[in-house]
Amino acid sequence: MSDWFLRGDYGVVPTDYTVLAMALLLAFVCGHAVAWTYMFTHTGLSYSRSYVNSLIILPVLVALVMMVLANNLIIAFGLMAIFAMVRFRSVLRDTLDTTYVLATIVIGLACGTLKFTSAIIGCLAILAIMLYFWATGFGTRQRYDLILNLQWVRPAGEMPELLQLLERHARSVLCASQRSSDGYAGVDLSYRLLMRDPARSHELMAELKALNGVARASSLSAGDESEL
Amino acid sequence: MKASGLKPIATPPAQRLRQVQTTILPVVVFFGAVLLVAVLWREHVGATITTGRDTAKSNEVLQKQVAELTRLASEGEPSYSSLQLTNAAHISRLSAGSARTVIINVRPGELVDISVQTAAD
Repeated sequence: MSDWFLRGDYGVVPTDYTVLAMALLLAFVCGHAVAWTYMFTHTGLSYSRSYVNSLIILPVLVALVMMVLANNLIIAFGLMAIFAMVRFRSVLRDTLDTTYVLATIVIGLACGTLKFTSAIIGCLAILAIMLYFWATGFGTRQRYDLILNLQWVRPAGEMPELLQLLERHARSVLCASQRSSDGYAGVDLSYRLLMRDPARSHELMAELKALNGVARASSLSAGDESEL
Repeated sequence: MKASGLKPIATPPAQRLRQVQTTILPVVVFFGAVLLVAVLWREHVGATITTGRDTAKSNEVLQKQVAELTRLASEGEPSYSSLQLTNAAHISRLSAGSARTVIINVRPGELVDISVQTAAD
């Protein structure tokens, strides 16, 4: 890279840009691993995609903060003051909103401490990660996109025929509930389907209604499982 | 209607692309970053055990421990005409050169002898 760009940081100790890149990358990798673990192990109802994204971006921001602070206690107090001022002046309901605020503060801090190259590298890294979230929909947990409820009035042993039809349209079929009662030969079923082609779910419904043994079939489209 | 013998319906390309974006791309990005970290770590990371500082016009910085030269940083105005390294098995970065003060960081690895000559010599 051009020399003029790499000479953009003022300071007592020269910035090692390889180490800076390494720190940002390692923070990203570790944050990513933590976020994936959270995604796969989270079981409650309070799942939030923004929170998962924050788990990745926060270590990167903290790494950048520490590189910019460079053991300078005065700048550290300045950072705390700025963040406290922004935080108490505005109500940030979303963790990702807070992360964006912190990102802008860190970039401003880097510029203010005359670490211009670090500010540009940090800004590009943050933008790249945010665009990565946008492009991949990272943090979205969409294990199904159609909820299907129906009654199976034929003997339970003949249900594989129904499953064959469901697997024709769905990549993943999960039976969420199965209810039978005394004096009633049929079974109430509820399935969660991840469709091969969500636009053709009406074809599935038509084929289900034509299948002998299926009654009262109804479907409901489901979005991702994130909090709204 | 009989369901037996039904073939799965085709997945449209747009849906496939979306699946790749949401499932495969994060894995590729993650392992790409891991690979890059591994390369950078191997090439550039190492705790410094010795730092030699040469501020005179002509001096020789001699590192007699088993070590590897990892960083050669310069400060101040250019004044050195050449930097010579002998027995240096591995040099991560060497900006030859050009400074009144030369800081040399050495880490475990190889035996390194470093001699620095100024422009006046």
